[in-house]
Amino acid sequence: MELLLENLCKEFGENTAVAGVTAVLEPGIYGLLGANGAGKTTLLRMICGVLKPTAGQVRLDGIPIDALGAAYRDKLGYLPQDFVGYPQYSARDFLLYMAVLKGMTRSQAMPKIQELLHMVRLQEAGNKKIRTFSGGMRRRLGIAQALLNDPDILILDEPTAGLDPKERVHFRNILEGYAQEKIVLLSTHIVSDLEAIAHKVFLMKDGCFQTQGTVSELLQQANGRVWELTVPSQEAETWQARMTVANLRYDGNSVTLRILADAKPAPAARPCIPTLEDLYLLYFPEEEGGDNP
Amino acid sequence: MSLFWQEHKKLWRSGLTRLAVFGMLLLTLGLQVWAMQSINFGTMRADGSHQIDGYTNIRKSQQYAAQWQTLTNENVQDMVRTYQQILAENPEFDGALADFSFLQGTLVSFLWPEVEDQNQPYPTLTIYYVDPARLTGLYERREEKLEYYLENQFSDPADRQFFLDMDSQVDKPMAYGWAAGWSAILGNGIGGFGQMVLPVVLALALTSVFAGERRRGMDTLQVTSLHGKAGLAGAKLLSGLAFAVEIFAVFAAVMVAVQAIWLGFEGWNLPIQLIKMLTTAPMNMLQAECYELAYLFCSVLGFAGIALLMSALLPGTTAALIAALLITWGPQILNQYLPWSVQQYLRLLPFVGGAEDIFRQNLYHWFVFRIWSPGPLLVFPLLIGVVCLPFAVMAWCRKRKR
Repeated sequence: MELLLENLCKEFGENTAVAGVTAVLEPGIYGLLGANGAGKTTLLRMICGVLKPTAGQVRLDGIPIDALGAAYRDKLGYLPQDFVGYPQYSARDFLLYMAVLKGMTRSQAMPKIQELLHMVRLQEAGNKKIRTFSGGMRRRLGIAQALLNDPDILILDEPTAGLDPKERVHFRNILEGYAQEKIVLLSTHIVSDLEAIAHKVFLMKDGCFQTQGTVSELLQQANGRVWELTVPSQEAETWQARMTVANLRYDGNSVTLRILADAKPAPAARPCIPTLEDLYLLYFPEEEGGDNP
Repeated sequence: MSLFWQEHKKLWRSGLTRLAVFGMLLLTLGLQVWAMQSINFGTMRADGSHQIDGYTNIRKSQQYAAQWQTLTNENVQDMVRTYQQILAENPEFDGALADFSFLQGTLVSFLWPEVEDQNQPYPTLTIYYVDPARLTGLYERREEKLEYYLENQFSDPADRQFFLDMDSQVDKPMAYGWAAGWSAILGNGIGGFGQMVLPVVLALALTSVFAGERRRGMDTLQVTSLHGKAGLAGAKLLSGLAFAVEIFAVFAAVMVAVQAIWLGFEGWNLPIQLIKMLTTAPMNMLQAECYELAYLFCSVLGFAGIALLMSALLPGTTAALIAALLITWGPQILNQYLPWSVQQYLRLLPFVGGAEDIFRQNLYHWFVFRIWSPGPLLVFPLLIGVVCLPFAVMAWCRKRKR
């Protein structure tokens, strides 16, 4: 199975949301990392067929998804960013509704619903109305509905938003177990989620993939660009204004800064092992107020 | 089919739908029972209010009117004479029990206006004092009145002849019975009340069918599911129409049940001329009730089509609700300020024209045909609804993939 994104573009009037994205997705977990407004949601919506690309196309095993129609949708599981569900429905009834939308019969759906409620740890809340759910519970329900039809292609837009750390770890375990022989693409700006499970990460900015690769390949790019420097605490603000500072750790009158810079920022600076978060900040320095690398 | 049932279940599970239907039930049942038991048929007190004894009064009125079976000169005279005798014996007698409004309003003061005597204490209450022997020529007078009315209404003699021909099919002498109950049902009970209540319930429930999905972030999920946009749109339309039929059935059931309990169906074969003397339609009460229910049914389906189209076209439920209600309420409010020719066409919109057109003489002139208004008032709302449906599907499908 191969999902090909072929020079995908999407324009909304004068604004370009996605500007020529090309990628080949084979079974595995893919992470889409980018700041708000980078074009992640638009790209995912085009892959799902919700939005029509202004140019380019999505192909599954060489066939455009428009031509595949229902056959493509049958292989698809999608969790949109703005998923709310029907407040008056119980989780179980909602999943049954979604199962019918996905073409499942009641007898096929009921055991699957039971399994998924257990999987996302909502079995106790299965008969409760969605209106009583917390944000995290709704998100887990959203993940469950995306998995109902055992999709070959699973697209998750911000799946971990609102989940607590324990739930995020559980979610990552679910995905790792699920991703055998399936394509899983998830967008997030929670870097640690991808660091743990993504086989390949796309870093998206201004509608384009800025870089892509496995986590270790991407970390290579940050090698030699992450530094630690201990300075008097009153100098911290000056350094933050001058450089991209990923982290500050105060220790009495001194502070240890984690600085992202192409060159050694000060003679006393020590090189560090980079993380994906460092790489993210290298590409999106404006989020931290520092200079562009 | 399963998708249809899921959509249908969703419609009924909405809190707003349940509230609207419950409100409709309460209002319909409450007002109808109140009308039957008190304001329409309860004994009037001196202060103008009504006692809560409608059920008993209806039985008495029906029993009283059963003394006469046909509307002939002799019987009209006998009715007036009997009324005067009762009044002489008991000046406090409640005239409503002796079909006062029919005798006075529909018959004597309308067909024999010249008998009014200004020297009497109550000049307009002619049946109190008129010599019954003067009440002759019932059907000749009715025909004169009808011709005079038609002459004022239509400049084309062929139009007048159309209604005279229709009137010639009305059986004469007409059958007689107590018709005030039927008048309450057919005058504005079914049509008028339905026009007021049903659009609100339908709009509240149906405008969320498409527009509500966007608000809940469900639209993207739905279009990425196996059934896709068109399949889902079909299920949504069908469930919307099924809901409209069910709402109509609930409304009609309440109306008919109240009628059955309070009025019964006695007099179903009486001519509708007992309600409005110059009506030319050769219909009995049951046929008229069937027509009014059919009118409501067609308007319900037509309006459901409009509400679904607005739901698919407009970005939010509130906008769709306002637009759908404006389409039916706007013309109802504005109609009186518009030329008759424009009014006539606006009346073809669902709920804008009246179910009571069977009592009127309104014509549409299309090509070489003269068409009596009740026909188009049934067909056009339904057609409008049907035409809206494919546009609703198109709007929904187009909006999903920009």
